[in-house]
Amino acid sequence: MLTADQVTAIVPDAASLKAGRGLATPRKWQSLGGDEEALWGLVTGSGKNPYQTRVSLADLASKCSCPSRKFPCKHAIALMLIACGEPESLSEKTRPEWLTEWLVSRAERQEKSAAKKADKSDKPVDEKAAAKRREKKAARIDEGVDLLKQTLLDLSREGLASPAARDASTWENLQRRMVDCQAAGLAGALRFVKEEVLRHPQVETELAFEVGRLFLLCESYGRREQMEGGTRAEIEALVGDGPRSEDVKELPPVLDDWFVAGRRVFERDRLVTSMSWLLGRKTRRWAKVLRFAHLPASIAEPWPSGSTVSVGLCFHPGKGPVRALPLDDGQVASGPVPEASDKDFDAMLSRYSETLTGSPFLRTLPFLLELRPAASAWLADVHGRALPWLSDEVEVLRVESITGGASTLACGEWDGSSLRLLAVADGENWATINPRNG
Amino acid sequence: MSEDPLIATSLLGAARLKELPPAPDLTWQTTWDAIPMDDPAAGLLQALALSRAARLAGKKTVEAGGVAEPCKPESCEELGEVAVAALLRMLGGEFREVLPEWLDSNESTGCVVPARVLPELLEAGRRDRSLRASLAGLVGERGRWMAQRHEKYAWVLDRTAGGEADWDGDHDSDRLEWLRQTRHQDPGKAVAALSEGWAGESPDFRQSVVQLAANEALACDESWLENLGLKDRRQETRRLAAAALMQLRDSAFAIRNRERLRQIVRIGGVLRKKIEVEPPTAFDECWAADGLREKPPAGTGEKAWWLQQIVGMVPLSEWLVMLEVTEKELFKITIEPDWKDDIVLGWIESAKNLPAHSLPSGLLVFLAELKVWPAKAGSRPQVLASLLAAAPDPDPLLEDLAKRLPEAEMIQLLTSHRRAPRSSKSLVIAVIRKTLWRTPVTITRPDGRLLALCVPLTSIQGELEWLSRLKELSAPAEEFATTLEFRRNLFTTTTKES
Repeated sequence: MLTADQVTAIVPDAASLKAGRGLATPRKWQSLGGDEEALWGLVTGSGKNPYQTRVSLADLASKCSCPSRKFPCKHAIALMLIACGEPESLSEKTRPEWLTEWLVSRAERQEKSAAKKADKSDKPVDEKAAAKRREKKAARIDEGVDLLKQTLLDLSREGLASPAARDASTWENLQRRMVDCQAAGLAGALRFVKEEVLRHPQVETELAFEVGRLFLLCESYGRREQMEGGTRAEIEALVGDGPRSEDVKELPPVLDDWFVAGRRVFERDRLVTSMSWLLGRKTRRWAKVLRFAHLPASIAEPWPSGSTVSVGLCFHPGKGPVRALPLDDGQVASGPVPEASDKDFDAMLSRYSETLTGSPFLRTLPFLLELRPAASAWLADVHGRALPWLSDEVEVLRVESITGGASTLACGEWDGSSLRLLAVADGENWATINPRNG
Repeated sequence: MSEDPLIATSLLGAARLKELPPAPDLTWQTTWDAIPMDDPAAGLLQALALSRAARLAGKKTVEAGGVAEPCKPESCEELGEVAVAALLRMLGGEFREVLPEWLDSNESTGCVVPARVLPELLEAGRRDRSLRASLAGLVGERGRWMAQRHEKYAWVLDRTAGGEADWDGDHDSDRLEWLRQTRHQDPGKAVAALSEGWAGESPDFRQSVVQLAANEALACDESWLENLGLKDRRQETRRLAAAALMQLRDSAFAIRNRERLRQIVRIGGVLRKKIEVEPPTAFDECWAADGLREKPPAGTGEKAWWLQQIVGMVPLSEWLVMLEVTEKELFKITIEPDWKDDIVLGWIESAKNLPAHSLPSGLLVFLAELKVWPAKAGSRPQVLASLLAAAPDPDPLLEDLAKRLPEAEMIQLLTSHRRAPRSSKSLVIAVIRKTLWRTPVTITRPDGRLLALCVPLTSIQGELEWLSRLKELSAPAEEFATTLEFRRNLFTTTTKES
């Protein structure tokens, strides 16, 4: 059953949603139809012929003969909204040819790509060549790490007050060099320096600490052979591009009912990322699940925030709260919010410092605990202990409204200096706070 | 420059560094001492990494300040999801025209919005004063709790009577409630309390108090209205005070006004079928105390200006007594042509001040049929709409006007009136259909949306069916149709939910 929330989650922008709502009335459609798998309709547009709009319900993919470059277009949005609000008006049951054609071609394409993948994996792996490739890549990464280390040492000698250290282009150039050296993790870390650290109000302290962290990361990478598996894998992922999905999926999955506790959606260089924190009801383990889409496509998130998903997750190797790959879309159900991950802030802080011992490069730790808003930009736990809260006015108002000043279960992240809220219990509902953040 | 010696060192650089500054914490001393300093630059970076870890791992909670008493539980029922979604769309600017109708219809249900949408609601009220009265009823306990925490939403507290009628309370709503009750029970006490603190009250509160009296003037109000209300600094407050005093037929103010009018107007002619006017020749100084203004606006002569004001300050019903005529006769009598416009302007003014005493049906018909409309009164449809808005039962008047007004003016009247008649057999619908059908179109798209508000809920389906039979819809007709659909979905689903 399609819901309006699912539709609003995939619209490309507010204008499209508004236009879609305007068209979401059967009066404007020449014909409307739908079945278990698809929705279709003919809508009058500015062209000579009516537009043929079709939506596949499995993944909310759509196609329309209108010239719009938005995706989904207003017609597809309208069609989905009609299916949510007035399903009885989808009166046609015989699929038109243009729908069947599309569904068939989609199925064919999917088959082909699956076959291609299977083909790839079936091909006998040339072990020798693969080993050679890996070696070559490792050598390039080593090169990148050395280069970064030398630059950091130079900056340390010159002092971080020097113009070079404060110039965004220094860090951008380094980032580019890291991309060339296939050190994707380091490239991301340098982008963080350029975009976040240099703009931080306490840039002096933050930059110094971040440079220290990067240096230690480079050093640790050089000594990774001596480290134990989990820490070593984390360090490798922070420097290079992490383990391959195929390899991760080979690992034994962790089966559990996962509570979808919090989610952040952000866009960078036209890549939309949806990051969800999941908490296992039985294992009490945190998992980070990422989904991506390239604009103008959007992410059709199969797991609503606050739902519980029965699914197997394959965890990336590592010790902290790490990324996990779901085996499939699992079974989504609703259920009560699980027990808190920490009884109060002090418990969460000690969990954080414990995690830091194993994963010294950790940035954020997810939490699920009872809290309430205190004085501006602070959150208090049930014992009246408080930590700073990274928020804006809108967020403060929203959280105050929902909690009414009473202690309420909430999910968020702690980054060592401030809390960030992602969702909070609102009676029976699990309310997302500012979902388009990050 | 940072106070932390390590950060300060990092800013200066390690080029001339011999040894590290002291460890951030004694527990870190051993690790700190183990940092090799053969390359000071590397040593410094390691120390920074260590210091970062120490800071992250060593963060402590603090005693929470400013934790408010949690909000009381809500006793009212929550609005349904469909209604909330529609409300948010309207507050966001879509179908904004429908908002007043929805707010009115919701008032009787006493439902409140779910807490999660309060920020949108409170912000809408902060931006648009005209919505505050209705929104304040929707915010519930949680909204009042929020208003106590945020100064910018204090208007919520001023508009939601906590049921406590309290003259010494902090909130205007409680104080007005006390006044409302006490004026009836113990008029002397109410008037004494008012007179005592008048000068210290805020201008807004003074206006609200006078408004209270203008809605229902009591004999006890005469003295303070005359001595304080009429002398208020705010013009609107003075106007309301005059309107309140006009209702008190036996007040000195009303008697003075009648006397002024009697001196300049009389019935004459052979068959007593003419109103003769002899406007004042000079401005009497004491008129100013009653709120009359001496200097006319540009384009109006002095005598005409004084005449308009004198007429405007007497209830129309007094004319029947004064001229010994019936209502029907009054509006048929010829008015001396030189002064006719000014008399009409005065009548409109009087009717606006005193809707209950304005003989609306007779006056409305008279105004609708007036061949030469006084330009200074503003547009006729707008004047009629404002008089209709104050009428206790506008439906029959609207029907009457639909028969008499030219179509274009009737449409303008409807776009200002923005309310549907109760009966689905209204002439109003026929006028709207005619206009929507006409090509080329004579109305704008916003007009189309506003006209949709004049269709009774029971007729919406019929109108939509009628529209679907039209071959092609003009842009305004399209707006009319979408607004009708929105209203249908909003009002039918809301009732279904509840």
